[in-house]
Amino acid sequence: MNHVIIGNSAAGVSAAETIRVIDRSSPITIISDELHTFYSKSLIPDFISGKASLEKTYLRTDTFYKEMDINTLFGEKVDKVYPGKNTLALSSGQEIEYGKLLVATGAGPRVSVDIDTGIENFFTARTIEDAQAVKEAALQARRATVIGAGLIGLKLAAALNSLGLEVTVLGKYEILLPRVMDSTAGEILREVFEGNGVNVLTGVKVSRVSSDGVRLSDGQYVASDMVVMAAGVKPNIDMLEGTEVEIGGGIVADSQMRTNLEDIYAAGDVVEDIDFLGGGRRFINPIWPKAVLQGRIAGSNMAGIKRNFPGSMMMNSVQFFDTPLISVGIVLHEGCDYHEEVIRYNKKEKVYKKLIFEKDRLKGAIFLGEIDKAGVITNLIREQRDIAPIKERLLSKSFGYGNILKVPVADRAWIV
Amino acid sequence: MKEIFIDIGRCVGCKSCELACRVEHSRSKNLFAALSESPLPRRRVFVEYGDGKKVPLQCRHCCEAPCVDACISGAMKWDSETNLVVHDREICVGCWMCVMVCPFGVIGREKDSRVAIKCDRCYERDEPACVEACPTGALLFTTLEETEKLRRGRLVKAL
Ligand SMILES: Cc1cc2nc3c(=O)[nH]c(=O)nc-3n(C[C@H](O)[C@H](O)[C@H](O)COP(=O)(O)OP(=O)(O)OC[C@H]3O[C@@H](n4cnc5c(N)ncnc54)[C@H](O)[C@@H]3O)c2cc1C
Ligand code: SF4
Repeated sequence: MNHVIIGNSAAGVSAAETIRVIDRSSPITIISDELHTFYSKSLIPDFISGKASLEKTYLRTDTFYKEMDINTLFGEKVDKVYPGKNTLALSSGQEIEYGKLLVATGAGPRVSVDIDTGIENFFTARTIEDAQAVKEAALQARRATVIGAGLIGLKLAAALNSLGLEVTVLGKYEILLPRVMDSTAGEILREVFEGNGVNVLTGVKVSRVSSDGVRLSDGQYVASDMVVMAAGVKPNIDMLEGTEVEIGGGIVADSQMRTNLEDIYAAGDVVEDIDFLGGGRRFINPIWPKAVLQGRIAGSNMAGIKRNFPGSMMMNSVQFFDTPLISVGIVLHEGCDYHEEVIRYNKKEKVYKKLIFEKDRLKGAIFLGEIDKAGVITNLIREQRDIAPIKERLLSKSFGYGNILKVPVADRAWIV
Repeated sequence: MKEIFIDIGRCVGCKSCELACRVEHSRSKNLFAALSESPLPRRRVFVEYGDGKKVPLQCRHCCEAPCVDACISGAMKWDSETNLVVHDREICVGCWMCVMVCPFGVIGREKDSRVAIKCDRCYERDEPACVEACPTGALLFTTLEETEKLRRGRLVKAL
């Protein structure tokens, strides 16, 4: 079986490694329109701030592809896939055959604002090349504007702030991190950013980006020397246009990560997931761990060993200045029959912890300021375990794994 | 392959393991000198109390470990030679993705240097410090087969 993978990132590399462990000999080819070896896109803000050097963003050694016997076609864009012929066309004109194809092309930046033509100080930050350009521009600039107050926007804003720039963040909604925080957490976070010298403008709409600043729809003008946009992503699916591969908000795949076509699989940010916590919500869940896991599941199935993806749920973790925060599962639950318990709230100390329940199941959690042992809660959410017997303990400050240990869990490490 | 097993029910909560872990991960590796080190050496094993039980917990070195999948910097890695989940503090950026996903809650944070810390199973020692220090045999460093034998033996006795 000839395996071809489009995308040399979290999902693609994870799939290739999995295939190689199962099958020592079948050819594997990874195609990427980027020239760099496998690096971490999630480290882009740290690369911009200087916390991570270019070398540090690389996730494998120089000899990785050779050792794993993986062919690489880097700097080559896939223009089109021809499922009928099991081939694909590169923009260089070359045609490649595949036995099984994995589309792990990720998601690109969504640019949904009007921009003056020809301006050179507008950026997105999805590739390391983008990041290099941002970094260079930051050397010359005094004021930067970031469009987008989601996780990536805020990460980029904090990175530019650490370089000494005067940074303004523009958010469409009233609260920061509108999808993963509630208004209490969002307010604390605003204080964290403002306290560190970042201007935060929320509930605003951008009407135009020009070379010397950003015009808002209410008439305000935010003067700036550079503008970075990080307001949402859209899956990279152009190469599938005109094919019969089913597309919704992203590529639709089954639990084996297979599309509706026999030989085509998909994994990572490019996939439209169904929120396994319920509600049937379909969404793009652009997070690193999910891309790695879907890549592994796809790779395993491509190599003939059946495995199922356990399901997608939102989660993210980040530290802004001195404040760490973690958000897991469904935290915004308007219209659902959920209830919530605030475990801790101390505005001054910037601590906030909240759990969200649907009857006796945990559906979501917010940890701000205090995040230790968050993973124990994440796992309870993932397992959708009946928490009625431990609910009281769950809310106590010292809650940890010891509290939920009922039966030996990992088969390898307990005796009773 | 030897692993750390926890004999739940034997732990009396004396925290000898925690102390031994701190000393082992101190610069001086000596109890009295370690106490005056700054920052104070940190422990990677945690005695937890819950539901009348006491449980000493440290990294389970999971296979297909969630923390390794979640790590965005490549600091958390599976070492196929030792079968351990190893953490490289030089690479860690302190995003705490691992803290978010570790189901056992055994990844700590060094807040000042902003790096994660966890059990390295004392890879330089024959027997991990916590196991050596445990006076009740609640921590065992042995193989799965041996543990099974022990467990079955106990079950038979209990009949
Ligand atoms: C700035 C930033 C910060 C982030 N921070 C975090 C974080 O803290 N935590 C977290 O969990 N996630 C974070 N993420 C998200 C995380 O990086 C992604 O979820 C992850 O990279 C997805 O991996 P992937 O393999 O699905 O796709 P991608 O990493 O997007 O890789 C897809 C690759 O395919 C290539 N490609 C696309 N189309 C073609 C084509 N036609 N031909 C050839 N090649 C093609 C692309 O160029 C790209 O190299 C962050 C992302 C960004 C941009
Ligand atoms: S740190 Fe936690 S998730 Fe990672 S290997 Fe250890 S027990 Fe498993």
